[in-house]
Amino acid sequence: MLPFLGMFLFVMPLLIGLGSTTVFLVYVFSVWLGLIALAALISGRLAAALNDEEPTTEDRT
Amino acid sequence: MIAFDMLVVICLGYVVFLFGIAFMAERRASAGRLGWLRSPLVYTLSLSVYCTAWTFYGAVGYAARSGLEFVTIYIGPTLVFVGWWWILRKLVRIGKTQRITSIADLISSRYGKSNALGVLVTLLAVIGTTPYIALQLQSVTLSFSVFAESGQSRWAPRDLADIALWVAAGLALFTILFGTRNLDANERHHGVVTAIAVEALVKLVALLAVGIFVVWGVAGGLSAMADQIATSPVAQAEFRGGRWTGMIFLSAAAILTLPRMFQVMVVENADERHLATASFAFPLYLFLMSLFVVPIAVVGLAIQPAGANPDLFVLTVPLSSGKEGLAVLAFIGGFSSATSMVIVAAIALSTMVSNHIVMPLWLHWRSSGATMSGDVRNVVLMARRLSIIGVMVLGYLYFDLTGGSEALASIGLISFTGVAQVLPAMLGGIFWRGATRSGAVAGLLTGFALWAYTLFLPSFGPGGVMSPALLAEGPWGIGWLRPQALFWVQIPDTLVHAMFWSLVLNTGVFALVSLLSFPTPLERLQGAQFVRVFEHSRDTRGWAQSAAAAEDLLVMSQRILGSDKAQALFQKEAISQGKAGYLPDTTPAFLERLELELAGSVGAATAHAMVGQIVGRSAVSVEDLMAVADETAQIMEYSSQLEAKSEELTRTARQLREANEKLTALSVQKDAFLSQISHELRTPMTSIRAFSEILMMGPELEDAEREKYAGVIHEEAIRLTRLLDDLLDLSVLENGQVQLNRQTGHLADLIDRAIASALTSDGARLTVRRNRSQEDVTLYTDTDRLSQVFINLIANARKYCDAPEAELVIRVNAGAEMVEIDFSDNGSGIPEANQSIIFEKFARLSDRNAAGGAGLGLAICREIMANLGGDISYLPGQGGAAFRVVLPRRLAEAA
Repeated sequence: MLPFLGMFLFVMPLLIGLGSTTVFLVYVFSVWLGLIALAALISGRLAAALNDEEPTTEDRT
Repeated sequence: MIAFDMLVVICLGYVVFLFGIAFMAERRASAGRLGWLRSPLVYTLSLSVYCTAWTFYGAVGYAARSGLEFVTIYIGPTLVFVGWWWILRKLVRIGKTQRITSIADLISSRYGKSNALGVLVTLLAVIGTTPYIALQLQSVTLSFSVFAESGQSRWAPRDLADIALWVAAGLALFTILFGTRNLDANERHHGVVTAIAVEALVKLVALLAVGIFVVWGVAGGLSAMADQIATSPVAQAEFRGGRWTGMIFLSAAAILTLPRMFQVMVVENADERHLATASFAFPLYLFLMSLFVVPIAVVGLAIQPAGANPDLFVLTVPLSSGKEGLAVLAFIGGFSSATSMVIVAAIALSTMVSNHIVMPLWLHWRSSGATMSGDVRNVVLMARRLSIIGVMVLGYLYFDLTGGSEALASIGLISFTGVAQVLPAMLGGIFWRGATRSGAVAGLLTGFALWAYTLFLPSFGPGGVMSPALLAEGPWGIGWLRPQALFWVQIPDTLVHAMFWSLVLNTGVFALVSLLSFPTPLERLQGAQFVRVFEHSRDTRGWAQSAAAAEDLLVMSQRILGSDKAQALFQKEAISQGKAGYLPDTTPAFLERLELELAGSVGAATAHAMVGQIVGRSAVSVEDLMAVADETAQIMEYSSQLEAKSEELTRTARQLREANEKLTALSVQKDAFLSQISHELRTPMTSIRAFSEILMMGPELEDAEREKYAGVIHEEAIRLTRLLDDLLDLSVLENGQVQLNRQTGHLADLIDRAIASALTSDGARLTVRRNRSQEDVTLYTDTDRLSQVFINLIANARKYCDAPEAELVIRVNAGAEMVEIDFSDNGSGIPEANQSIIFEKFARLSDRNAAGGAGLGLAICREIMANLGGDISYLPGQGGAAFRVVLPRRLAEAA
């Protein structure tokens, strides 16, 4: 769902008005950083889930 | 001001540094010390190849011209990575299970291994990427020009296009050296990826350094910077919602479909778990890369003279502030951005061109097809090297043709829209089983044509490729066909216009034609494999049972994978089938596995065609598919335990059948041996008895006659002794009672001695070819016994090789622990049916008188090698008779 949330947040200023460029700039970068933080949180669980699965690493080299 | 030639020296020094990094990484990888080379950090940094010169220089120019719109280029990939990593994971899993080598290979493989689709995607990728490569050349040239114009250099180029040419040549050389060193079955390039990871750090540090300098060194801090932004022309830029949304979508599509991104994201991925780290680390990288873009643009517009190129603010702002060191760092950062993109794009495109265009054409033109002589790997590598040069030449020509006049960002967006045309076929292929090859071809052609008509060709400007009249009024005055107002729809932004029509019609045609067309059996199989890649094991077959000779397949595989890999693959399969040697049964499962291995080197479509040439018409049919479906339904009724037992029974039955056949053959041989040994014993005994009777009963014999008869008796006695010695030797060896005389010896000397001993009688009949440099190996073993093996093999070649010009090739492959010595002659070889019994006692395949002996030689060799901790085996598929002797460099001491 993160991409949909992100897309909504990135497009929202278009719907409710942009405000000043500086505010918009800060808003965009804040949303961006927030998404990254959420992704970092999820990635921990993701890595654990992937580790539980059968390893897919290919040792073909 | 830094001298221009000094800048060139710094640049060359940096390139040498990159060469060193790549070389070191390649050495580590080839030594098997992968370690950090396969870390998620290196993987994430390699993804930064997305950030090209467009990002480094062009983003600032973009911000100066269009305000905050530039961030959309990063937001799209961010959304894909933070939330749709499962699409990436699916692509990576498909890439691994299907041995995908490029995005063209993915599309081709999904839609029934269609080479036509592979060609189409390859052409689309080449045409779509060419402007992008031109963009990189342009950015490097522009950055050089900044220093050339402002410096007091003793040397400056007369024409900056020369720089682009030299840069293109240098990049081609780097890519050829590290991108086509060998034909790796998994298409990973550790050297290139590591160099790109280093470049990723360099460009990030450079851009952050310039940004920090601009905010705190020029603007006077964050609050002053905010004030300056609010009053700058950047804040006044028109904000277009449609373009904002469209650009986010376009960049999200591009991260999935750009050939270079597919290369680093899927092909170079060593472990799909790395995606977990990349899901936040790569967006963080993009975030940092764009953090100071607006400040640099705002300050650049404020302090640079009117009309200055905003694409170069990253360089000109530090230069005009007297920060030459920072400017050089920025220059190196920009150079890194451009070179990493070009290198990876060239590797990706050359793989596509060689696998989907050159190899199929080559296979078509060679009447002998896949089993021709010669090493196919050299052809593939040469095709890739030429393709790299071709890609660079195209990029340079585009740069030269457009004169580098377009803004960097607009060139990049043209490329993005071009390669995004692959998106419907790609996503449809991995999520929709109903997608067909016809649909993919129709969709791609539609999208590609519309992209070229509405965006690519108009990008050359009025009068460039399209006339001003055509652009304004449409072809032959047909208004609704105007390239930038198609179907009378007026969309002010030409990029959004082109993106909208090309992708909408591409998707529509793809879906419609897919619904109306009927997929082939192979398409259905591949569709199931792709769409259900996480559930499917590889138990559906693309081949029916074949009567193809395994030896033909081995011959072909050796020429693509190399002898060692091919032999290991065949041997492993044979062992899993319960067979000895290198020739497994050509079961559908094995053909599928073999095709996958070949696909890793030459692409799915070419591999399928090559296997198809040998197995003939045994590709799967509708009936086979129905049979597979029935079989699958039945199998599902059984428990996995029963299935495992069934497989075990099949394996055991095969082993028993093979053992039975072998025992029958041995029984026949033993009977023949008893008859022969009786004859061998009786003949000399008869002679001895007869001549000794003559000697006893004829005292009147002359001395000469007496001496002659005594000599005959002596020779016959020696013959008897030799035969008995052989039998005794074999018995001792078999019982493990042999005393080994361990000593240090030199392999070359042992082979010298064996050749001298085996070829004394008629050495001229057999020519021995060797590579003495390979034989520089010191062994600690029983050198006398080893020589005995060599003598036997060389003598056998002399006796049995039936070529008019008999020749024996001795090759040595020395590993860290073991040494392999191959003896291959150019005769007709040993029939497959006899290959399994030649090491048995009393086996003699020829009745020729030249053979002599009782058929104990190879049996003794086998026992000797077993006692020396090694092995001797017959190598099929080498043209003539070939034997491989394997032994440890150092024979373990007896316990």
